[in-house]
Amino acid sequence: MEPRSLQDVFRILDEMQSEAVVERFAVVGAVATLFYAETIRTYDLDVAVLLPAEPSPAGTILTLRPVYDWLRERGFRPEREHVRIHDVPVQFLSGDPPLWRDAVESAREFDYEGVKVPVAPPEHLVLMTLEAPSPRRRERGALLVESGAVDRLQLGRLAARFGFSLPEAWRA
Amino acid sequence: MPDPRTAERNRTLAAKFDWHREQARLPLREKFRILLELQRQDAPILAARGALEPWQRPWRIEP
Repeated sequence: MEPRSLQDVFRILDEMQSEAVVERFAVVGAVATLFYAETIRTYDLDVAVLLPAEPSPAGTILTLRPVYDWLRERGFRPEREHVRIHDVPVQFLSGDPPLWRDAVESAREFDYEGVKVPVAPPEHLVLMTLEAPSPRRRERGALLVESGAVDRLQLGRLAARFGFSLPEAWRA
Repeated sequence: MPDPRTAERNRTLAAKFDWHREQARLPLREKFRILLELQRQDAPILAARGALEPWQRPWRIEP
């Protein structure tokens, strides 16, 4: 069998959207950072998803089950909080929180070896690193800001809109 | 005139900054190749420390 590539992983995600399993998705986290800044070490691929709007019975919690079911049908099995797609552990996260929804809806489309890859904008990625700060996340945020990919005015506007306080060095 | 040591320090920092910017501008495929290489180098070190989560292993995949 021909060795799989990251292109195949991104193709599966694209198919998931074209088959309306998800309404939209965007790559987030360390892999998303790589699209704008230098490579940092990571072992999983985080994907924020918006599910198609369907009426749900009152009191029920919307889950990512349709995503897992669709992937299972294609032979990709969950392993704890990940689904391994062509050996890449992919973690699906709800894009429902306001910042995340905006990140998915305003994702930038990249071309990876002929496959479309929506990636959260760098300003959203920076704010996401402030949601649950850790030294590693803070480093990732700084890397993005220093990469030159971040529009600091836009970062400031988003921070105000979503209620974040930016470190002094990241302000415009 | 700036202190020679300060000037030297500033030159070093500027060169580092430029290097990081260049890394950020590498083609995506090259960045993913670096990521896979980092995973391969890092995994045995983490494993030896017993700090490797089950999902933390190098991706057996091409960039």
